[in-house]
Order: sequence, then C-alpha cells, then structure tokens
Amino acid sequence: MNRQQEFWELKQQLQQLPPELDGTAQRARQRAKHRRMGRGFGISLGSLAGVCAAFILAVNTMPTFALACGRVPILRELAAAVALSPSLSAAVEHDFVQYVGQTQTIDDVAVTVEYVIADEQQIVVFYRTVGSGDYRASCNLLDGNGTALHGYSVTSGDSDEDLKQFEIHCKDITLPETLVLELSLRRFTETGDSVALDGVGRFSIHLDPEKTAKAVVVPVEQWVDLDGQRLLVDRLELTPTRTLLYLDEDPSNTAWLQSLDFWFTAPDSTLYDQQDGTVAATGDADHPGFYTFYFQSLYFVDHPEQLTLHIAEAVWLDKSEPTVTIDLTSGAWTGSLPEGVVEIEVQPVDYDGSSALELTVSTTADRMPLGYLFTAPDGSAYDCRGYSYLMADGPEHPARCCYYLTGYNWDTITAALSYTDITTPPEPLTVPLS
Amino acid sequence: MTELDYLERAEALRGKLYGIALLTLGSEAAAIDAVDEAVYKGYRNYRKVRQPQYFDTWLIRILINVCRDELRRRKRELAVETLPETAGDAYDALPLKEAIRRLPEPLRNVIILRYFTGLTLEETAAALSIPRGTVATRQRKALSLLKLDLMAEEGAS
Repeated sequence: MNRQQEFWELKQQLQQLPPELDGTAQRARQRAKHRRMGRGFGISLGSLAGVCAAFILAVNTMPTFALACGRVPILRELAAAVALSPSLSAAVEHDFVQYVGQTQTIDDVAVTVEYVIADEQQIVVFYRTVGSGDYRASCNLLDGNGTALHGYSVTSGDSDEDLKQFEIHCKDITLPETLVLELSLRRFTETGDSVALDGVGRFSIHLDPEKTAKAVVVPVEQWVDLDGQRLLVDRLELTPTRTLLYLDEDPSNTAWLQSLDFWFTAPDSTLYDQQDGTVAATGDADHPGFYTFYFQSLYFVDHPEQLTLHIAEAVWLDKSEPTVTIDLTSGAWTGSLPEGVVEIEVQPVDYDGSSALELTVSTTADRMPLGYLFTAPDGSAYDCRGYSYLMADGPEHPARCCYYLTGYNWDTITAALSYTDITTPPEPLTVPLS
Repeated sequence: MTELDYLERAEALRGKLYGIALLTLGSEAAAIDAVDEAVYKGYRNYRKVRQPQYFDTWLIRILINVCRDELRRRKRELAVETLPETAGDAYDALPLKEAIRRLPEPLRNVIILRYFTGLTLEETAAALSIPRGTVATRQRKALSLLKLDLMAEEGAS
C-alpha cells in the first residue's frame, strides 16, 4: 500500500468514533460539579437542571404567579432567560416577577416589555421584539410626571433568546412607584455594527411595593490584611437580584484594589460562589480603586449573618500608577510590568485588511496586563484598534494578550498597567460575618 | 458564551478532537481520556471565551496542550519516541499513523490540524499561536518526511 492510500484509509479510520466518546461535554459538566462537591461544599442553585427544577416547582406551587404570567410558553421562556442566573432564578422562584405585558412600536418594530424584576439595587427588564433582525434595547428613566431621573446606568447584553433582558443599575436613585421606561432600540448586523432606530417607546410601569424589595443590610466591619494592604469588610447589602459587598481601604495602603476573588459559605457548608450579573464591581471617579463588588443574591439565604466570607485573591494597582514603554522594533521595554508577565513580542500582521502591529504580552495571570489607551512619545493618546485574548492553560502555556495598533507611526509606545500585583494567600482568608 | 452553547459546541467538536488526540497519542483509550480532559478544562473556562468565532481553535489548542503534557509525562517514563527531521528513511519504514506520531511535535501538530482535522492555514496558525508562514513551512517539511504528495485542498484551503 502506498502512502496516498494509507492517508485516505487513515482519514476514514478517524471517522469511526468510539461510543465511549459520546457525552464528553456532559461528563465534563458532571466532573466540574463533583470537583466542587469534593471540596466539601454543596451547590444551591448552580446547575441548569437544578434551576429549571426549582422553577417548575415555583410554577406548580405559586398559582398567582402562573396566573399573572398567563401563558405557559412564556413561563418556559422566562425560565430559560434566567436559568443561568441563580439570583434571578431565586427571584422568580420567590415570586418577585412583575408582569407588564405592554407593546409599543419603534420605527416599525414592535417591542413588548413582558416582565420586570425590581429591587432597590437594580431593575431587570425582560422584553421581546417582533420581526427579523437582532435588536437590543436600552432606556432612560422618568418618574410618573415625566421628569427625568438620574443616578443609574443601563447594561444591555447580547442574547439569542427571543426573550431578552437589560439591567438598570440603581446607583443613586430612589425608585418611584410609577416608573416610565423611555425605551430605545439598536439594530445589530452580523458583523456587530449597530444602528439606532428612530423614536422611543414609553412604558409606564406601576411597581408593586410588595414585589420591590428593600435591601437587607448585614454589618460586618472587620479588617483583613492582604500582603500588607488592609481592607475593611464593611457590610453586605442583600436584595432579591444581587448582593453588594462594600469594602473600604486603609488610607496608608500603597495600592488600589482592582479585583477580588471571593465567595461565601453557610454553616452547613453550602457554597455561594457566583459573580452573577453583568457588573462585577464599581469604582469611584476620584481614584482607580474598586471597593464595591456585586455577587449572586444571598437575599433568600436563612441567617445571612452566619455566612463566612472567603477571600482567595486580590489584585492591586500601585498608587504610583506605573507605566511601561515598549520599543516596537524590538519588543524591549522600560518601566514596570505587572506580576505574571513573561514576555513581550511585536510583529507586523494584517488586521481586517489593514497593516497593523500586533503587540503580544504573554502572562501567567488570567487578566489583560495593560490598559487599552496608550500614549505616543509626543504625549498624545492612542486608542488601540482591537485586542484578543487567548487564555492561559496552566503555567507552561501562559495567556497571550494581543493589542493591535494601526496607523501608529512611532517606534515606541507607553501603556498604563491595568494592575501591578496579585495577592494569593496560601489558604483563602476567612471572615465570619457575625 | 452560555453553558448550553459550550456543551453543544464541545460535543459537536468531539470527533475532530478525538482524531487529533489519536494521531498524537497513538491509543484509543489515551485519546478518549485526552478529549475528556480538554473538554473539562474548556468547561471550567468557557465563560472567558471572548471571541466565539474562534471557539474551535481555542478548544483544539487546549487539547494540544493536554496531549503535550501527556507526552511529557510519558517521556519521563519511557524512552524518547520522536525521530529527528533528518531520519527520512526511518519514516519510510513506518506505517503512516506511526510515522505521524513520531514526527517532531511542531511538524506533527501542523500535519494533523491541516490534513486530518481540516483546519485552514489561518486556523492552524491561530490554534498553534504561530505565524501563517511558519505553518506553511512546517507543512511542506512534514509532507516531505512522510513522503505524502497532498495538495493544499486535501487539507483545507
């Protein structure tokens, strides 16, 4: 048999898949679940099956909710929309959904606001659009008199579901009983470009006070030391859709906190470990630190004051806000680099049909090491054209963070670091809340 | 990317992953274990996939790393198996499957991805994090060692 025949026979042989290969993805999912349980923890509502089961239970045992929603297919859609969020699933399960069911037309596209889940910290709006095309909604908020409200932000994510959602984050706002959503739509093309539709739709929503929960505050007021930097764990605020962890810093700290890896356990070892929702943390306009972190809702946990906070990692940015200057002809650099960076490479590439420089920073840390705004030697700001991230796969295969520079005519570029140090205690720090 | 997206796409890719692992590791059992390990590692990290269009190359890269680690582990236990690029005659004497497995790793990865997995030059470059030109060079060298006369179209163009 010659090589060519061997080649084709080998290709055919590879088409015969052993039956043991079937279900590899489900095995991975089960293994991940068992791995967590192997650490001695249980999972509350983490799995899709668990969430769906809980939801079906809710439908079966809460006739008022089922009646309010009216149509069973819609319920299934809502279950799918919230299935991967333990917080929203729990809010649905505990009957915090408010039915709206209003339709408006924006630029010939019918949009229906189906439900909201509202509390003191955020409003999650579930909506659908009719007609072909990928539409995403955002909104302005008005009170019942038509006066614009301030002190909130809106995030609208991508979704393939018919029932989509966006979140209104209520930072400095007291919700009125009657709220007007002035909703706008953007149409997205397959390439990710978007265009705003003309006009807005106004949806007047009466928020049921019974279903618009007040936050529950759990005071903590304990200091922790992370590699010489001190943090005050001040308090938790719990609402049906999420938890806020409020921290503060010791003014003598030499670095700003950038991110925190944490979770909670209950006395019975139940683990709560999901950073649920689209926002992980919020900062302050006065400094680059982050001291308020968002987490899955612990609102429905019995005795939240008996929880224990575990801190596994803290990421810091030195207060001197260091920079690195990179020679784009050689990849040599001067200044500082974040912990974990092992190599910098520069090479010319084609980027979307344009000549570009690909600046690759290899790092063992699981985060982008540089900011996206660079500075040219003449002091002018340069916004990188795009970036990509190939995740690390163990210490021998570091992450590759690529920044693409087009139309940049200098030989050197200066970047601000997105962090400088990572604190990973040998064992996670534990902070009993009570 | 949602959990459901990941589970569906990883399951759909299992055939390609298996082919890569089988040609790299040589045994069916080791290949199944490697695919399971790679899909598990992918599951633990799918939320970090920022560009879903590169999902296949991302998961293939994880699998290649899993296979590489397995080969390293074996090397500690067994004699080195690969043949040097200068051992042209030695490759001739081996069945194709065995000859591929004994190629130096950089050549082996390219030949497997291009001709047995159907990745394009660009996809192969992305999966291996090497320039497109390097893929083409290694492809030529590997085909020459294996005495295979294949057109680019017999991989993916």
